[in-house]
Amino acid sequence: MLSMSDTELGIIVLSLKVAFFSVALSLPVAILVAHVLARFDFPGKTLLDAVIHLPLVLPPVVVGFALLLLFGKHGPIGAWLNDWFGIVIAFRWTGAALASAIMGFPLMVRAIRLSISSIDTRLETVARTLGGSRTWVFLSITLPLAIYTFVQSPGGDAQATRLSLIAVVLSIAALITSEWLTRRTSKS
Amino acid sequence: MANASHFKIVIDVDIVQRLGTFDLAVSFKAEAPVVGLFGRSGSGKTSLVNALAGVGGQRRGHVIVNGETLFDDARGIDLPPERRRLGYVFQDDLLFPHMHVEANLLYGFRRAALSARVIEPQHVIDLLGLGGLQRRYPGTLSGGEKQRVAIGRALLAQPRLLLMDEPLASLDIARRDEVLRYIELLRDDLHIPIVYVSHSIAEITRLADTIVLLAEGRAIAVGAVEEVMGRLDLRPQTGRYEAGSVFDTTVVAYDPKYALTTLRFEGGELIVPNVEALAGERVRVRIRARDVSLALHPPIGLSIVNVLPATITAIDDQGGPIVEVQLRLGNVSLRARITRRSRVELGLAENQQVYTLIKAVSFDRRSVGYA
Repeated sequence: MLSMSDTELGIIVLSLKVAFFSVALSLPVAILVAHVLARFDFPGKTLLDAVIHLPLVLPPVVVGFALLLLFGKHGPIGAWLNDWFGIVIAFRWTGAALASAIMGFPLMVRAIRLSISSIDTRLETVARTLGGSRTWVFLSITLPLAIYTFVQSPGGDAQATRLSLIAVVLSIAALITSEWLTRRTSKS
Repeated sequence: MANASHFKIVIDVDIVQRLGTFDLAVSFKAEAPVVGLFGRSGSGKTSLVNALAGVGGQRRGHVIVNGETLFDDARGIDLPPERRRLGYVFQDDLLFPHMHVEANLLYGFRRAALSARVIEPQHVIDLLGLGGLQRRYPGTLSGGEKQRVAIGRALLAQPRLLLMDEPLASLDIARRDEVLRYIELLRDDLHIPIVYVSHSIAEITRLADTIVLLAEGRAIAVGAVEEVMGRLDLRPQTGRYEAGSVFDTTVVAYDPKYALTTLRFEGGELIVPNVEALAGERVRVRIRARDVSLALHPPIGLSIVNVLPATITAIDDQGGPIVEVQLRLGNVSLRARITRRSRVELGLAENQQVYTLIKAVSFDRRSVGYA
């Protein structure tokens, strides 16, 4: 009853692969952008903020269409990737990873920006006076503290981590159940 | 215990900075083992310390410490904070919450050049009494412990001097004295110069040799502690209630029968409650103006043990009920607060010889410290 066919297993592996690569692709950029938005003021900040939020406010069809135009085989970026690296994005798992990365990007930036903003900037100042360069302070203080405060936020302890893990387990369970139900219905 | 002249800071500051509606324009030169920056809240103390450390905004002028230019806008020099080597200790401990005590202590040590590593971690741990705390996280420490770790962390970054901005302000009274003792200890043991910022006269006078008095973003007086604190014209800034005098003395004897210590200075000898110092050690005393009484003749049959001859150098009579009299005892200047009635009845005038009466019990723990 719980045994899965190769197709189902393939679907799960594909989902995990898409999820992994979309996060791997977007996380470093999201951290950088979130840090810039949280800590610096510059002309055009509002505009940058708006552009980052576009995938969140635009209908998904519009985002999809734009991605297709840019990354399709004949799109400016898609053609270049294909010519130079032989990478085809459109209608492959790579395309799915890219699309998820773009769609998830605003949410990622928001969460990281919030936790960076909640860090006492004086901690970074102390670290500088102790001899840390800007980059080192970011890596040793800002980034770990952003993760630390993110994990510690509600209730101030590991409760949030536990809830996140439960959410992950529940999602996977839901996925497996739905796959299993789909198989049952298609058989009958 | 003598904080002799073999370690000191020579500091030359000229800073102009606009901070919102506040104008900072501080210019002074000072040379001492411990320089105290004293002023009321909002007088620009923290802005000045930030300027020294090289954090917080654009400014003009220069900062030269021990001959090295840290900042000079005219010459285009502006060392980033990580290259100034000033151990900044803040009002709040600001320990890194995601690191245990040892990692906090070693944060700056690991960034310091190998050749510059003179102050050893184990020595600092022993000196500041941090043994056994290494694996604890900041969240589990008491306020005093946290501030001691913060001081140790700054020391281990091998700074040329410590910048302490109200390091006791966030502690309760009992912890303050504990941390103050440790600061005295590290000053005497490591011979590290300190720029000590405070709005507490008691702290400044216990630690500092030279004082910079700040008011409304300006340095209005610079000089030896006893000189600046003794000036009547600076009373609006130094405060009426806290008025007093500070000077250094040498321990000459201890009387175990009554637990009294005898201190000598150029103007005579003082008997005070046991200060836990050995004969020959230098001890700094602070005498509040309200604890000093005056007499025309040496009194007899009196419980006050300290009776010292002095000369009146100035009388500040503003017409109120209380008059402040400035006196000279040898090379030491002392202030006394008496009623205007007493002044008139005794006929006190400048250059007159009088006797100062100081109760031994007016020397409390906080008014006597190692010089």
